[in-house]
Amino acid sequence: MKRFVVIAALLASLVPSTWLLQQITVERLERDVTDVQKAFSVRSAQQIEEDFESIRGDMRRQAVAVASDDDALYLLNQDFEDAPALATIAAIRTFRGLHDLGPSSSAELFDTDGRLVVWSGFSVLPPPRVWPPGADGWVVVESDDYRKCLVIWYPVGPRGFVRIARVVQSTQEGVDPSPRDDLAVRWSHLTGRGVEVVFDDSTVAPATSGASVVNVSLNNGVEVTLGLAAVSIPSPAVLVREEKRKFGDLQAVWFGLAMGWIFAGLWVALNRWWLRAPLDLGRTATAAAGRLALLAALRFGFLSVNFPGRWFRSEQVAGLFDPVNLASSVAGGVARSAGDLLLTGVFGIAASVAVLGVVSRYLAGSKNKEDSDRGVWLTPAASLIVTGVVFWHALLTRRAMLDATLDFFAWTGLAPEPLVLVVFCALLLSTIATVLLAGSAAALAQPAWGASLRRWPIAAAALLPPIAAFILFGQHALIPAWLFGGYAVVAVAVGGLIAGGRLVRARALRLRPIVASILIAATLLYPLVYLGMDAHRRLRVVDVAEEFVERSDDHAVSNASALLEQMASSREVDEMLKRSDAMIRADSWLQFAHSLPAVDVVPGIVSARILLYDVTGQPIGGYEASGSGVVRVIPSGLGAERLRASDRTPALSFEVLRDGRSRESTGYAGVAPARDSLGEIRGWLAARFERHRISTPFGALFGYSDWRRSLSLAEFQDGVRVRSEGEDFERYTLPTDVVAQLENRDEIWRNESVYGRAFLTYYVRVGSEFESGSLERSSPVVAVRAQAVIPYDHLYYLLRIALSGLWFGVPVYIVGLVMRWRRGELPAKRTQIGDRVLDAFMLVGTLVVLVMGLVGQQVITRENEGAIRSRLERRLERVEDELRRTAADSEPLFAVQQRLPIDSLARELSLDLNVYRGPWLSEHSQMGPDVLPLMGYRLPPEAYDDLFLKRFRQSFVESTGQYGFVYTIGYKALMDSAGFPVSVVAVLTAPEQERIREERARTTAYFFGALLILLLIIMGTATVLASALAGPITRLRDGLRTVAEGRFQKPIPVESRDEVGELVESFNQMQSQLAESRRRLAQQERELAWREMARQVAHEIKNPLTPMKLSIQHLQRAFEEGGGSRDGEFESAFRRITKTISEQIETLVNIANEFSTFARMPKRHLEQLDVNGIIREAVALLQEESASKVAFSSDVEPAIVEADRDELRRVFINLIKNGQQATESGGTVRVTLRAETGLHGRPDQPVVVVEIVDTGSGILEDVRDKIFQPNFSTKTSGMGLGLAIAKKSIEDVKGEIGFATETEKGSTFWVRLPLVA
Amino acid sequence: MRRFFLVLAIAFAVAVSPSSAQSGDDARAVVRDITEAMVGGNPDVVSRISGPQVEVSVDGQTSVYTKAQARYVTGAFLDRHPVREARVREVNVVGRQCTAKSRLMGSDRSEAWDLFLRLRRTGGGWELKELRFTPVAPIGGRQG
Repeated sequence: MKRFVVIAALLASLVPSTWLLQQITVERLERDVTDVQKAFSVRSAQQIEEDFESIRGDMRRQAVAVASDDDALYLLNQDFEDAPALATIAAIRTFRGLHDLGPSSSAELFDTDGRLVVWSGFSVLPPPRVWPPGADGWVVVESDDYRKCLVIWYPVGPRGFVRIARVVQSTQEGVDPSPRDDLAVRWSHLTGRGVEVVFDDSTVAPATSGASVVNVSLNNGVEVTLGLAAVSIPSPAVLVREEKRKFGDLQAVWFGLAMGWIFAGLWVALNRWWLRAPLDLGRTATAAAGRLALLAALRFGFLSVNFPGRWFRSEQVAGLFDPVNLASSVAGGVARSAGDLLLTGVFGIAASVAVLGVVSRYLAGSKNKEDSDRGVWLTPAASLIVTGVVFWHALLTRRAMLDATLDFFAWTGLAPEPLVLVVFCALLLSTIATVLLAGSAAALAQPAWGASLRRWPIAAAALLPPIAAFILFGQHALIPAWLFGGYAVVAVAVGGLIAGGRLVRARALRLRPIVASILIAATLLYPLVYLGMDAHRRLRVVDVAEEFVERSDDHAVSNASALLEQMASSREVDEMLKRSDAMIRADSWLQFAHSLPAVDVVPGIVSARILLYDVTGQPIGGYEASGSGVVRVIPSGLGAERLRASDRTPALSFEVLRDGRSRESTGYAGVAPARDSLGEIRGWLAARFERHRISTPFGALFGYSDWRRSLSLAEFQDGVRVRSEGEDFERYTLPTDVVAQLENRDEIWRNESVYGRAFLTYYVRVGSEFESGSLERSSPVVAVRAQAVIPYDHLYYLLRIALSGLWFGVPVYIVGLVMRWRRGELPAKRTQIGDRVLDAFMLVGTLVVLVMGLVGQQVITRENEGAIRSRLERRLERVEDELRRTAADSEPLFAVQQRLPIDSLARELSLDLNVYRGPWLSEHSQMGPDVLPLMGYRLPPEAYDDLFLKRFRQSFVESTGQYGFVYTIGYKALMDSAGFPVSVVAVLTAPEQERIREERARTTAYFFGALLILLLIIMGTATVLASALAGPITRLRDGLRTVAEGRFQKPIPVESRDEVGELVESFNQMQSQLAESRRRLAQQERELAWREMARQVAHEIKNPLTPMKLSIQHLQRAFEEGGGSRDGEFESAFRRITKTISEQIETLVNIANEFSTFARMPKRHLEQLDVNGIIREAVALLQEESASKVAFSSDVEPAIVEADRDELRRVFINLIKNGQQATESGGTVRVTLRAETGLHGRPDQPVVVVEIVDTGSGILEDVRDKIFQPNFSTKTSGMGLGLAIAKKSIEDVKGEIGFATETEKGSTFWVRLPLVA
Repeated sequence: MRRFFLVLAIAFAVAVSPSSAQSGDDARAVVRDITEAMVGGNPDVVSRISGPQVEVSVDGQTSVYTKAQARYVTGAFLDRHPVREARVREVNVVGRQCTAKSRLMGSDRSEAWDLFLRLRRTGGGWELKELRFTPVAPIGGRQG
């Protein structure tokens, strides 16, 4: 205890100590901040220079390697006079293998005429503009609008040059190479500060070190500046903040250690207190609550110091602790990031296992105890706990779904994205924890359920918590009642397992329980996840509907006004205004238009009209950009009026043109002042943007997100459609039932089906009083239609969640293996046949599903690739047809292509086109930002090989686009008369391919969903089969075990008709025979024992009896010889007593004889005799002695058997006498005799059957087994040996004896004796 | 007593009468609140003023967040880039839309951002719909 307190105090004291140290350090830092900044500047500059030198060194080494490469020299020495492009594909591949520099670099070998010989790496650089390039030259070349490359030229012998290039600036996310290769990003990571790198000569300033930045010259090693890196120097405030953060991190460590130590101590103390006294319910509940409280305190303690998220920057660990991905404020931030949510899930599991341990121990300890202390109030208490944990889990899941930007339902195959996987794992853990906690509560209350339900106030109290929760959270519909019921049922089932002691930890960590737990948890979790996502989707749909109501797009308004301001403050406008001669050349506008990413920034806008006015409002000029990207310059003074004075305001003004040119369009217009560097207004820039319903290829590439684009919207006025967006509103009028429903409500959600496609549609009545809620019936109705989730989708999502569980299921299984191994349970000494069957089925089922999945996916992929290729082929044929249609007589197609403007051809065909001559791109149509990097400046080697070397007419090559999406590009050669490709036309159908791939993803998902069903069916069948197979075998095993233990049980029921059934039948027969043998053996043993005892008793009794009898006789003789007494009384007494003694001695002699007879029968004299005669003698003898009559009848005359006459007579006398004793006075004992066949398994053996039937009360059931046992009798007299002797006598002459009895009706003893032939 | 009720009625009428002329002023006040909250690094204003969903753009990454998540995202940005000074530069109200721009100066003097705000007027007042942090000029080294 003392040590605990000392260590806790020590750890706790480190927190303030570190704080004091921080104060001192910060004070020192503030004093020496200039020195620190200088040191930082020097260090940063040095790091950047060294890294840049390292990059250049790598590139130079690569260039030298190429220059000294024999293959390169060989290729340069070849005569390539006839070919526009030179290398063979083999050479290209060899070169690529030798000089592969990674995704952001390339190596190209040129001959001295500037022709490309061979190349390797990515294709972003155009052919060199200046030739020859000069020896050992370093330059920075602009690849496209998004990328710049550092390039080194190096001579290769006397006949060529090599160009090594590396991307050093890349601004477009998702395009390969990504911004990670950007030097600014690389150096920002290196220095820990923001770094900007500029390579533009015109903007590169001399290297300086200002107050806030340090500029580092990037030179080529010989004092020629290639660019400039500007590193921001941290301000004193930032330095102090970072220093404080370091100490804060240290304090968090001390705090965490102290908290962990205190937690461990309190945990141990709690356990000691709990186990100190005999377990009772109060202590158990307190211990469980204490464990929960301790774990909750630990969790929130971690949260308070942002542990461990504070050590991870947002981009680290795949954004695990980045709120950009997930952040919820629920319960003090237990889900403020995906990582925190996962930790919360782990804590939840720890808490549930801790509570489960307490409850299990209590239940195990109280098994034999009366449950009086578990009162009926436990049921309402358990209901409260179950409701609480289930609703808490539902709330956590709902917020995790809502407060996340992760796409939980993306069609990305079976494996979710890493962060989605983390969230699913966390929620699965939370589900399992919920079930275990609720199950523990249910287990405690289980004995009281019956009593609780019989008392209605208690039952009502038990229903109160869920009812209250549903009332409280009803409006948010956190969890539907049916799902709550599902949780409750599972909790009760788990409670049953806990109460029955069947939830043993080591057993639960086996494969099948783990898989079953994950499947059950996923099934319970998925509805909550889906409801959360559905709520999210509905929120967004409502938002979109509101925007549509406004007939404007919020984003468009915002972006258009921002764009206008950006244009007005641009350098180009400033320069145009400075000329003041109002004669701005057209190329200035074109340059300006080119510099503006207008279509990119303003979503959905397909046309823009920009006008520039001077300070007096006179138009200087302008341009128009249509949706297809065509720019038309408006000359000065034409097409524009003077800007009104009211519009010439110092602030930007902007408005939505609600009544655009047509009802189907929406416009945005605004005027912004253009100021010079001093802030003076030098003119105005007016812009008008208009969005049309016209769908263009560009419209699909820009603007809304994929999800937003998938929506269809429509506005209905008086039930008639007046405008719409998207393709899914075929109706021109509102359905009548929708109109009827909107009479009473402002909004409705409906699941609808259109042409077999399922949709979720939102209808809302809108108007000028949209917010007030007082709408008129004539108000327009806006409808938004989103794709609905169909059952196959559910299956796919469920499968993804279940598979996510394997990420923690597998480690848990491994832990279980280790635990079992340490306990000596592995390798298993015995296995069960059911387990083996089930395991085999699981293995086979999984393999089948995997093989089918892989094959199926291959088939789907091939079919989709085929579809893409065939569509590309059709596009290429259209290009050829168009060229052929335009061609003059005998004009070759390549000539037509060369004379036609590429843009007009592309517009005509509505395609993006690239044209290559040789390996180089020669011209291209206006393309989107992500198209050019895909198509590339250079033909891919595969296409080059197909078209130039193999002389195929077309080729299809895959290229990786944004975010790893793979596109197929079609290439078609336009050949000259000699069959040599002069031009190559390339076509890319990106949106179409995206749709096809999405369909493929969907089909694959459905396919795997179906496979999941198959797997479940296999597992179900396996379970049933294993049970059917293992059940009888298990019972058989148990039967054998009991037989081996000497116990015989009832016959095992035969439930199957197969070999197992036969086996069971054989076992039953064997058991029956064994039981009979055992019974006989036991009987013989008993008889032998009795015989021995009888012999001893007879011997011991007889020995004294003979002298006693002789003595009495001597005494009587002496009395007679002596004249006897004259005393009459004495004589009388003497004679009476001696007579009595003699009689008793005689009785004893008889008894002894009887014993003796039993022990040692007189020697048997077998003879053939008639049973009829024997029975008649017995009947005659007994008829006189008893009041009961004996009736004899015989069907067999004579019935000759071989037996001892006296012995047989004794048997029948005994049996008939017993019958007479059982029959009431005046009754009749009937003795019958008849002939039969069959004895001892010999069916032909003739037998005589003697039946002695009495009309007594029958033999009691519990003594029937003992009837033939020696020393058993129901009578008060006799030794109980009669029937035992009779049985032995009959069996000795190979007969059978037995009886049938019926209570209160009488008994029939039968004797079967073999007849002599 | 009658005068009292008259004054009371007038005061009530003035208080509750909707005035579109004031909506611009209201918007400016909201924009000012948000802007000033950035200086204190207090992102709670985001969750207070936002609608159910708000679009936030930081470090070039734009997403639609719930207000709870937007609060954390904004908080994380302000934690990385503490704001020393902020001022509203422009407020433009178009119908029920309001777009505004503020300039934020970082504690690190080399950092500055334009904060673009987009608000929409609803029955309950102005709702924040979009929050966009755009770095202002290059960090250094450029001329002009």
